[in-house]
Amino acid sequence: MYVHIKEEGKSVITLFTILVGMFMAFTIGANDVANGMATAVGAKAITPKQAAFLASFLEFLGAVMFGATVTKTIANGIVSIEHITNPNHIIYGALSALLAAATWVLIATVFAMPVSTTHSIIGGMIGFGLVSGGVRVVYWSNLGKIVLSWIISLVVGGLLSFVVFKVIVLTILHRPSPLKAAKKVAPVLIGFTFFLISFLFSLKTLKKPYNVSLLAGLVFFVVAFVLSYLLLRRVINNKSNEYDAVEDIFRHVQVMTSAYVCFSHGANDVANAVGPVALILMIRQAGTANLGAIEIPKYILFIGGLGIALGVLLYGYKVMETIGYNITELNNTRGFSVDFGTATTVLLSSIFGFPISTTHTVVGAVTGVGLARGIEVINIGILRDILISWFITIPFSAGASAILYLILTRLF
Amino acid sequence: MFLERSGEMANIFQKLIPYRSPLELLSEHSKLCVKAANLMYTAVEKYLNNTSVDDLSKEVDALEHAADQLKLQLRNIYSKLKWTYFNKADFLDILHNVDSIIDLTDDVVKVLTINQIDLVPEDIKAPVQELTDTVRKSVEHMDAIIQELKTVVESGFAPKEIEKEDQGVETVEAEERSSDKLGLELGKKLFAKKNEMNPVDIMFLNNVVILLMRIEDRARNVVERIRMITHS
Repeated sequence: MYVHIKEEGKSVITLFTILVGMFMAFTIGANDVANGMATAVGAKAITPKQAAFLASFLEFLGAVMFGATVTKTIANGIVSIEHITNPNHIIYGALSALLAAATWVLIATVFAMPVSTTHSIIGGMIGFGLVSGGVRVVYWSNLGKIVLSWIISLVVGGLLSFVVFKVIVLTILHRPSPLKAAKKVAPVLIGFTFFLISFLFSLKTLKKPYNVSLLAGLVFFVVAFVLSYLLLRRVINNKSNEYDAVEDIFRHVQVMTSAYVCFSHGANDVANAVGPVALILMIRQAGTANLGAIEIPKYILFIGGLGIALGVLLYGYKVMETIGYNITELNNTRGFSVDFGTATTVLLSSIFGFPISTTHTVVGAVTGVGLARGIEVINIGILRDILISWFITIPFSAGASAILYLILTRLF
Repeated sequence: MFLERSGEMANIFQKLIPYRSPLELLSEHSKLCVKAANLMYTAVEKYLNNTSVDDLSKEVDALEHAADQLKLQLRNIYSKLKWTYFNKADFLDILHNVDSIIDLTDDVVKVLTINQIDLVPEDIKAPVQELTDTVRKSVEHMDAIIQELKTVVESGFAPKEIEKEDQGVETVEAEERSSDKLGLELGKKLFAKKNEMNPVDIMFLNNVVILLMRIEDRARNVVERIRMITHS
């Protein structure tokens, strides 16, 4: 009888954790969709409704295709669970981390503070780790690498955007006929994006050999290049100057890079919602805390991806409408460079298992384009806000998670 | 409520970049200068033909007020947003000079409302009108350079666009030299009439000429600064 009640209790906790994870995924989808789609919607290349549909599909796809590695990092790469002999305590710990992160994100949202769900969940995991086993159970070197990845992602995002914008300047804008040049260069950039996604998917997710992945990447490059070349060939100049016509081409291309941001965002941020859920479900399945080398089941990513997609569809759409077209005058060539730099950085971080903040990468990417003389004026003070948010978010979610863990372990 | 606020939070772009580009605001300000300069030309023509310019003065005053609002928006952007690829001091100097143009234009038309000269000698009328026309054209050319600056920026500072810009700068510089000469000759002509005209009227017209030449100076300052930033 006692065992039965305990089992039932665990099921309730598991179900509750999944629900909290889904809620977290939902808020990620609702809040962050603007990061990916704002430039395309602002450029009137796509309506908020179309943006929401496209984003939800791609966030889901990104989560399922590339979400496993970062999820593994959140579930098993921050805190060592081997020291906890009672598997239930790990379940409580993961639940505490998730609840603390969700609460912090909720508070921050109400007060319109730009906090990252990534930092919140990492703070949550650290908090429960510290109270359950002290400082020795936190993988400090991994944590150091993660924190370093936050700084590196800003720099890499900036560097990529800088290079992409410089490429556009030199190969298109400085050419005698920018429009003709754009029709040739834009398909290469589109092709390269598809190459990158397909190559990495084949190599890292499908675990195919390097040469097979390279071939797959090249096939996608050629297909994307030919299709986009044929489509862009039809564009005629009905603008007063050729630069406007170039912007018009990039207005369409930007839909693709915005989709790329959503895809990468899904890949990286799904872990924030399902990392702790994955840990709980795997312990429930294994019946022990000794999981060894873990593999994230696809259905967990599916649940997270679905949560994000629902968030985008049901509320992200409203967020997009609220923002509407009322965003800054960011030229399409500049928007393209920002999106490309952001998406590539986030996707690469996902592949290597680094949970980073998409919003913060956007800041780096915008600064990169600015340094390439692409954006007139930038609020560089945001970088200070980012630092402050790290120093507030992590201690808060860690503290909240620690308190919740102590309460749960005393109660049950 | 919660999600409306989250929407604000989510759009990092609104926090990073101003809603309106400063260059776009400067371009609007400059267009107001052109409108004011054209009204000033009409006002001088009317004044020399002994017609009241009170209505025109009100119109220019309204334009000056609108320009002030744009100037405030621009200063606000630059006080909040810290990093810019234009040297901040250069941009604010351009703004200061463009704003002086509309202020001085307003001054010219207002001055014309305070003292009516019954009979302006014909040999004074023509050069005053000519000087006003040169000043008006310089303001138009300055505006063309500001509008072209947007293209320079859009093109990622393409050398061919910078070259076009340089040609425009040379035009304004040449106009400034010619209006300087014209203003000086006009001054001499005016003071040569000290025995024919009321001395107060001479001083009054000389003041108008000085104001017109100041506008021309400001237009030259603007284009020279623009050349500095396109070549930096």
